[in-house]
Amino acid sequence: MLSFGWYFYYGLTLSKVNPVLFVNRLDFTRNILMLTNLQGMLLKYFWLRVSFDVIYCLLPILLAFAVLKEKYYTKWVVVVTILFNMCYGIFMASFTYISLDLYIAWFYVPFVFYPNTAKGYYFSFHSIRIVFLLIFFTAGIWKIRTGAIFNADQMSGILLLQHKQYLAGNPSNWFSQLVYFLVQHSYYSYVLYLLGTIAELAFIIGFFTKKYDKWLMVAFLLFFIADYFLMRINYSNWMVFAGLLYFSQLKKEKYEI
Amino acid sequence: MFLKEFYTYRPKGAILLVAFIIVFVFLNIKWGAVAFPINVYGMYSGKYPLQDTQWVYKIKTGESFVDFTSLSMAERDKLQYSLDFYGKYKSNNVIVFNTMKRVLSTLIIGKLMEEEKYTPVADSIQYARWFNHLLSDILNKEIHSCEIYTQSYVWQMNQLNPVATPQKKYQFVSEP
Repeated sequence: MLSFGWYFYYGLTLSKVNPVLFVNRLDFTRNILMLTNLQGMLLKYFWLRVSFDVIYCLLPILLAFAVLKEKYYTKWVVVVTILFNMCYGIFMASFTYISLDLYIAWFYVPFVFYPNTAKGYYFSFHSIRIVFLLIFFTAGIWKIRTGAIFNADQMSGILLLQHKQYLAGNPSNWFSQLVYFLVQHSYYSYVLYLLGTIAELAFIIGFFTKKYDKWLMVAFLLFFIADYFLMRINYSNWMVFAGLLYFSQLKKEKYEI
Repeated sequence: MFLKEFYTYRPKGAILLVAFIIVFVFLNIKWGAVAFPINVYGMYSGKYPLQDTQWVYKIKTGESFVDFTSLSMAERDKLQYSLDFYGKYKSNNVIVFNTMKRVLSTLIIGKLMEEEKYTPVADSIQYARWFNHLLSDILNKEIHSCEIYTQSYVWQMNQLNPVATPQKKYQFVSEP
């Protein structure tokens, strides 16, 4: 709800953006979904955009209610939430600059609540935990694969691209000065990038043991803070993933009925 | 081991998880089109050379330029990326449509893809009205006309320096 509130406040919901065009991507799922021409209908009808926003906001509440009250229809709410969040994320990413990556947490995490037994819940929880670890670990692998980690100016280049409007518009602004410092002193900015990559690669530990999950959670929170304050990217939608690390230590035996 | 226990408890679930991991790794190795939710989560793993020319937008309303540093990060991004999108959406959507149709043509899905659904075009008056409305919301004042300039900058002598005069790219005029 807090995350949605942030997007709503800054006018980043379908009903507030009121788009007039969209940008497609090389994504099979997106292009198959577009066969329905929902994208055309969302461009045309304001009431449909409002409905999408309302449903997106209400589904997590309905899901929480169904799970806590152990309702018989919880499985269906999970399925609807997953499918709807997929549609919502795909179209938001097509109509705005928001990356589709930011919506994956609300696609994956509802899977955790699909089983209706405690033991099933244990396995679904840890399956999604594995998916989350995979996402972060592959992000680190990508940096090695592309050679980015071997480029001492990598972070400086990223900061320049990300904040060019600030630097060109008002170089004396405090944030511009901070970015300038990091770009000019590439060894400092490179260390940040290197530490981030090491933290991403460290997620491989989670495949073998849950002992260090709280440390992985700290790394994840630092990643969120650094992205928000330095890169000015809001990953608050992903905060729900932190629960997969925080609660992972609960033993399977506790779920035996 | 988790997978072994999972397979004992629910074989289909375990097979689904392993299949997901295999497809995830495959799409990441193959490096091309993706299939949400299986994406390539690179998170700034591309190459970003310091020497790249940076193109900066300057938005002129009346006699003054918009100061991006006075805006929130969301407002800055909305303006910047809206202009980015406007500049490339037509050609991008055509390229993506042709590529996806070709790839999916072996399945019935490709035959069902109609170009007009994937490549609609917003007319310039409609876009101008939309952009001026966005700008009005962000600047908290009525805007019915603005000029968009682009200026190139390069990193030289430890700072970002302009290398050309601003070039007017668009003019958005909408009715009051």
